[in-house]
Amino acid sequence: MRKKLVAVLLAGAMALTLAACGGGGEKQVSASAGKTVDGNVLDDEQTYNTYLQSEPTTLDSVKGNDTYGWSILVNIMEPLTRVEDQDGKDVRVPAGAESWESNEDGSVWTFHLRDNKWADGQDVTAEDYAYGIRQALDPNSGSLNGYLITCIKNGAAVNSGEMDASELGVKVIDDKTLEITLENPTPYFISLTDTRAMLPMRQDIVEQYGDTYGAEATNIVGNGPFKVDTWTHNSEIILKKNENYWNAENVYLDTVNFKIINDESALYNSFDNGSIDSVSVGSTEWEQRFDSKQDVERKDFNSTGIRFHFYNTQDPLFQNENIRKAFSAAIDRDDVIQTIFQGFHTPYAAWVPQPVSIGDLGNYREIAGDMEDTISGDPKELLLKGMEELGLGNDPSTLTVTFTLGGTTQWLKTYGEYFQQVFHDKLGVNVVVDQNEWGTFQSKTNSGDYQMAYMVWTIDYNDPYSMLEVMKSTAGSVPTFWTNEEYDELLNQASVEMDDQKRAELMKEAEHLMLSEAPICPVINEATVRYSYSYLKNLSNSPFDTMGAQRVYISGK
Amino acid sequence: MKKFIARRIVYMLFTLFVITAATFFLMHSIPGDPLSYMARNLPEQTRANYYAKYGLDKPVFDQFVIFLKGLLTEGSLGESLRYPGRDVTQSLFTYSSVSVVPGGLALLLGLIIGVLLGIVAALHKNKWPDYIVMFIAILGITVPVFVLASLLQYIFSVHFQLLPTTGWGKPENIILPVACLCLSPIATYARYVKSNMLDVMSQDYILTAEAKGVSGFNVIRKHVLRNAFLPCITLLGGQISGIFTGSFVVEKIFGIPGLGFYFISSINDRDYTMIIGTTVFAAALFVFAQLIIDIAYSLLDPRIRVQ
Repeated sequence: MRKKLVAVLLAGAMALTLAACGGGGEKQVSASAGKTVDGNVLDDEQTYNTYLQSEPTTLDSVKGNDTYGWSILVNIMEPLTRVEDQDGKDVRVPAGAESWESNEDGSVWTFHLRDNKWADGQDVTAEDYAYGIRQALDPNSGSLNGYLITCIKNGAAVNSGEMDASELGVKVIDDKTLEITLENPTPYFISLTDTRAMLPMRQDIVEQYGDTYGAEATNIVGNGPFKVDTWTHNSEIILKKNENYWNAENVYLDTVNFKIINDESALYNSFDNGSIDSVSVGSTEWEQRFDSKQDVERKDFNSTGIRFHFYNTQDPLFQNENIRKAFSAAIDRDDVIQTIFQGFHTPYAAWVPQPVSIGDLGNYREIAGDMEDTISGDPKELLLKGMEELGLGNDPSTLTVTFTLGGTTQWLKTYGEYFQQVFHDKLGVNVVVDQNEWGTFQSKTNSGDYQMAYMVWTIDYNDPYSMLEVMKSTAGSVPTFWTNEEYDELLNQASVEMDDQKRAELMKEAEHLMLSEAPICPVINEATVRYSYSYLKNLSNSPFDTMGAQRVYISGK
Repeated sequence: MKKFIARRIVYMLFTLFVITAATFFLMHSIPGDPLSYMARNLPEQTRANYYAKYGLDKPVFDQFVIFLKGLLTEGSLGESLRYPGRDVTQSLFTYSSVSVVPGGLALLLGLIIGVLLGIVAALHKNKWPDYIVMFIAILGITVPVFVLASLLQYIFSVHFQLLPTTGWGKPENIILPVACLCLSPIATYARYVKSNMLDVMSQDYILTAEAKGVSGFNVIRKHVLRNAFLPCITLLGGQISGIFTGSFVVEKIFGIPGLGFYFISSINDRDYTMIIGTTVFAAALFVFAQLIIDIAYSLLDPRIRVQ
């Protein structure tokens, strides 16, 4: 047995060696070598080495729902439109669709597709986009993204299986024209065209591979700037330039390597020695290490995640608005940032993330204000007032509150203990920290078996509505059990109002109203610091950019 | 003998069935579901469609019956819930065939070096070679593998830039992982061989051999080593089954696409089919290794067969 094992091992080692030799060592000179872009001459080798922090679950756009898969999909699929970061402004640009228009009230949208080919040479047709949409809404496809586009006529009914997909408001006028009818005018509809729910899919390929569509590099065909060359699960995804892409002459990279690196220190070591060309850092210890590095550029962002506390409004204690306000008012956000995050991240009192924009009006937060005025007053007084209203006497030390956390890391333990201290000092209440594994946390909070909890929410698409919708009475996504008819009504109006200025006002009012009743307490807008080697050019600086790596190039490596 | 083996195989299958059933019901009793990993609550309708598609809306017992049926009639462990489109059985073979390369090399290397060091230590008992070997052995047992892995990665990949940080498929990718993984077997075998050798060397038959005038080298080779090595084979059985399941920590740090990752991630993700797959796979390997050891023993020692 031992002899056999040795033989197997030696064979394995030999196979590895052979595979490595077969790979070929000579450097290929890129077709775009020597071109000049923005005054930079392109290098001979156009390879971008980047990373994913986890294995994508699948490359099937409808069955997957993770950001890792999305990072690949924006590169291999061509959505109808894309968002491009142009000098710090998010601009919606034509992509699969050359142009588009809507009728007057915004309930019917017509997309005129450009001539484009799939990576295997077939023409891209309007039917491919229609099929992708139908798959996203099909209750039997295992889709996790149908909910995004239930604004399409009969979308909700098709998604719940009550109506046949043929009744859907998606019509193929001809090979190059797609008409989408909506249930109601939906002002943010165009923002959905570059989400997973509206990517094109090839019916013949989906049917050929069935359940395994998108599970391997070979089981998918795309029509984007790149195509999947190899996918070694949990190790690496290699994309190669798609020569059939309509804009291939303006795609500079030949290869994009996505190394899958789960381990944090391995990730930063990889950047340190140049195995990857850029890295995003979420804590100060690595910041110091890379700030002192030569030929490395730093870029600071606010990202689209909000870290917040939420209260169970059905809890005997937290049903009281003043109690909730007391716990919110007791939080000194600057101190949280300094104490727990060593200055990282941005203190934030509002719900819609900072980078979100509204139509062509620009940044929503600049219009809506910082919402700092939604909670005011002395925390202790608010608490005593609440206790009086509930008939709980006037001694806060009789109260014991459970703070439920979803994670078992040391970091989260520190977070819990910090707030234990804060609430004890400022309010005089006792706080018990309840740390749970994530699945248990979800199950507890969803069933209302909690008082106060902590979570992160990341926006789905670039419109304030995406974030505000989460708090609607019917949504149940953040289990506060908070309901407010006025809030729902404001959002219903905002969801059909076509005038951006008026929408902004409606949403601002809704956001203000919701935060003033304090079912949730936003604490932080997540920040990211990205480091990249200076030879890596044209990286996007916007979290909403959906151009993928098609603009990136290498110069001076 | 045939009867003995047949009986053992029946026991083995029974054990595996109990493990499968226990794992199945235990994993369904932990809160959360395969959609939990999404870090957010998906809308009701989306969840309902998903549960219906993967049969998760049925009672747990029915799900168990469906699972068993699939396993017994088609030999299928189902499709991963976290990674749609990936067959669990196939995944187990693909990923374990990756794990087995660094794991196997490390075990082989650990065995060779460990045994040699053990011999050196035994022959120079209480002299400096012994102290050095025992120092290495203690280091190998006490230094956690994640510390060693991070340290080696920093030294060889970042500081000297001699070896790649992460990746798979090239020969240089396995050097650091093997170095990390072999320290523990080196330590184990060095200590094992040393103490067994010392034990054997104090036996009367060694004295007899020496008295007969057998040379020192032959005493060690023919009498001491053979007897001292037997218990190591028992140890090896368990470790060989372990190399197929991989190492979570080392695979994560060096980005090796092995099976170790899935033992932990499948539980966090509530990837039910993968949990069952990895558990049954590990259990089957272990039980099978035990069977082989038992058979080997019964061949070596007739007393075991009697009952």
